[in-house]
Amino acid sequence: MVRSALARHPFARLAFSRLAQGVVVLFGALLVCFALSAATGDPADALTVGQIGADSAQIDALRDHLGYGDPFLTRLGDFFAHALQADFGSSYRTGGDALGAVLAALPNTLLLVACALTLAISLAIVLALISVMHRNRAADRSIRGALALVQGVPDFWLAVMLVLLFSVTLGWLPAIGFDGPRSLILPTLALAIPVLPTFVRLMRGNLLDVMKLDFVTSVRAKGLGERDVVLRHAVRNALPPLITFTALQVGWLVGGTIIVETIFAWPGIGNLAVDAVKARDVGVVQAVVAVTALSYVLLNLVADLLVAAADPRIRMVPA
Amino acid sequence: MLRRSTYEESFPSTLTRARFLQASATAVAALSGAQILGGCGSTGSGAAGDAPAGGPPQRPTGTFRFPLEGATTGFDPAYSGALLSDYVVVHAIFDRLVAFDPAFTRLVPSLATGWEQSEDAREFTITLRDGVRFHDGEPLDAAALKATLQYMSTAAGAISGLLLPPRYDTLELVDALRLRVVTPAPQPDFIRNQAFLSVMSPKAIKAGGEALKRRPIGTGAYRFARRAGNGGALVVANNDYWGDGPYFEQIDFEVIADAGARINALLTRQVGMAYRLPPTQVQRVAGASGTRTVSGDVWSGVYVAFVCNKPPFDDVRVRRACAHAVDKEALIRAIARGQGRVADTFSPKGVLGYAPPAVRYEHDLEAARALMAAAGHADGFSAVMCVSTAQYLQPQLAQAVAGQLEQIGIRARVEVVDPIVQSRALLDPAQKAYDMFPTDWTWLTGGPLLQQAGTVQSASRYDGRDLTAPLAAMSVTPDGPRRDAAFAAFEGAFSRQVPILPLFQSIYNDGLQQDVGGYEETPKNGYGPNFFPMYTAA
Repeated sequence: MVRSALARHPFARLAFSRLAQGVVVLFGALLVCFALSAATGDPADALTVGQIGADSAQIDALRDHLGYGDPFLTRLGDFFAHALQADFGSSYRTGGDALGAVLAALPNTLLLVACALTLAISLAIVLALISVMHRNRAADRSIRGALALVQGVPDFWLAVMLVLLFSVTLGWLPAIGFDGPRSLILPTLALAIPVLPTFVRLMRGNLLDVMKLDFVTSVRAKGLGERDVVLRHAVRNALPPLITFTALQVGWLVGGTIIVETIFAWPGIGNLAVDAVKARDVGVVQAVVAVTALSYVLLNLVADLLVAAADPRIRMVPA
Repeated sequence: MLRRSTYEESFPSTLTRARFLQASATAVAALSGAQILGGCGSTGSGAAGDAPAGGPPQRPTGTFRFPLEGATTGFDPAYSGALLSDYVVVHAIFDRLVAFDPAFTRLVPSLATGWEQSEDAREFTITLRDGVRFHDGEPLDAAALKATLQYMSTAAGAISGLLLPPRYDTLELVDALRLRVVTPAPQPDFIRNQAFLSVMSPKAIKAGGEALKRRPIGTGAYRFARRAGNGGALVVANNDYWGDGPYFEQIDFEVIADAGARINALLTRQVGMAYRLPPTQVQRVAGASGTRTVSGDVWSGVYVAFVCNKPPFDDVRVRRACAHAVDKEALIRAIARGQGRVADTFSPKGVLGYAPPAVRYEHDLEAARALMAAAGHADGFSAVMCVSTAQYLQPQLAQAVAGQLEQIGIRARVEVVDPIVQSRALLDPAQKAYDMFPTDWTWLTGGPLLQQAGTVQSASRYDGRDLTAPLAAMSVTPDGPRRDAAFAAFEGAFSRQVPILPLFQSIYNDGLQQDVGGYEETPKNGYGPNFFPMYTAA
């Protein structure tokens, strides 16, 4: 019955198919995370590193107490049984709920990612339009040259240079932490600038492809000026690939803000993840991976559905 | 004539991330012109060690922001020695029975106004300060101290258990403010160790468990307010404090895991202090406008432990050859950026237990090669050094030592491993994978704690009687000539056998805002500033 219902509704079929793929991705991410954390030791070792007088018997006792004395497969089964109930246990350091700590930090990361993407997309659209409307002229060449330069800049270097220039030297902006809107400026720039060239190139390429399509020739033939052709007709048709790419970037940025959050001491999940990895706080690390993978899957799903809604041809293609 | 080879010669400059950032920072400085020049002048107010001109305010004022290098885990003082972040917060909330004087050379009263000790170091009578109350309103009295000692001695797996006897023959309340303590065996460091142990509220001890970890209650100048979601903490002024301070309304402990970010926060006045500056950053902070540095020798050293229960380091001639081959001054210059002093003993200078070495191994490659030949290793051998990623500068140090050992034919491969791997290898007496362990140790109490914990034997697997006999003696002998003789015998055997090669004693540097006063000495044990007398100049 479900099969026949799906056959009648291509949009639902697409959604179901993407959701199923997402579940597999999520399962895979959690499995890899569990296997890697199991392979690199357990919290009993981490909690006793450097402790004067700690001997193997004490470490073994602590290991049993933390439930790490069980066989690998038993622990794996327990892990997935609890993960299905959104339970990643407690933080070994703080005693608090591991997922709770991640969810508390997530809004800060999302805020940073949203600001960075808004800045990158807005700038990308503007720069791509300038580039296309002045194709092969000085403005286009300057934009492409500058982007090539920016693309080679590592984000950690950029972040450090921004702090040294705008915080330490000029004293205009805070160097660390989250103390109001001014604190957002530097980390946003550090995240947005490295992804900007890819956005601009994608948008520029899409626009150029769209400009070659028949309907553009048709609107030109109606006597519309080049500016109107680009702004009123080409931009809208060039956006769908950008939506998909943006969704991918959100997922990537949620898990990829680690360096920028560390340099700016930003209280997000990247910073939390670094601290948890350093302290072998396995529950928190697993919760970070789960939340990141889930955001990636959900955002991809939303992007696919948005694109399918915008472009009927996509939902007709068998998934 | 022999040519002295330094680390710089062995390892020519390469472009590392740090150098790259340094060069980039220089470029930014050049671009920003006059503004940065103002901050780099040698005549600025940020000269190292200059205390602020103004005195402390009349009443607690403002918020002091202190950056922690990692999230806190809990504030039970019995357990708080294992993690610096926990200890730093605990240090702001609790008092100890005794304290060190500013020069860290002798004990001075704190919550205890006096103490007596029997000649055999088994009986102690401690007199407490009158009129002191815990943050929960409970009075400080002999019963409270008794509860603290009982809890600290028996708390499972607690670091405090290493500093106290496991049980007492007597804990007698002589009167409201005097406690008589009798221990089954001599405890020559009982009073000294109290400088590291906090006195806790009896009500809190009774509540036990999570309450102790989450709601620390002491008698200190600051009382606990809350723990932040990211692992930081907030403490507020205790206006009824009996001693000097508090001078801040509150101290906000904020987690800033990256050392570079902590220093940037200091330079932009977002934090009041950056504790334990990396050696590479000391000049940057000292030279900046509006900040100053406070530095000092600490009870901490950097060492290379040899695995003495298997060839080739089971031969003392090989270990002595290594001692001659390593150029400690070059290591201090190149790796520690001058922030260290050459060490020849296990105990750093200033620690109770320090005695001059019986043998000093000068940097002498000819002597080293002769010893190698005598040990049957004229052509050298291969070895593996196990170094932890968690120990700052240790991987670079290990590479430098390996480069120096290569000059006498020891081809040492440096394996940089997770701290857990290193810890496991160090604990496993049967391990065969590694031959050397570069590491560092800190003397928390300024006494012979590490010797008594068997650190030399466990790290090196050397347990000759020449080392263990004086160790046994120093553990039960009260301070005095007999104990000094045991210390000297221990250090004598240590320097003759070289189970562990001391490299240098560390110098710590702390960065402060220029207007922060009351902090003129880096604590010798490197375990947290004393916040109570600290202030922002009025």
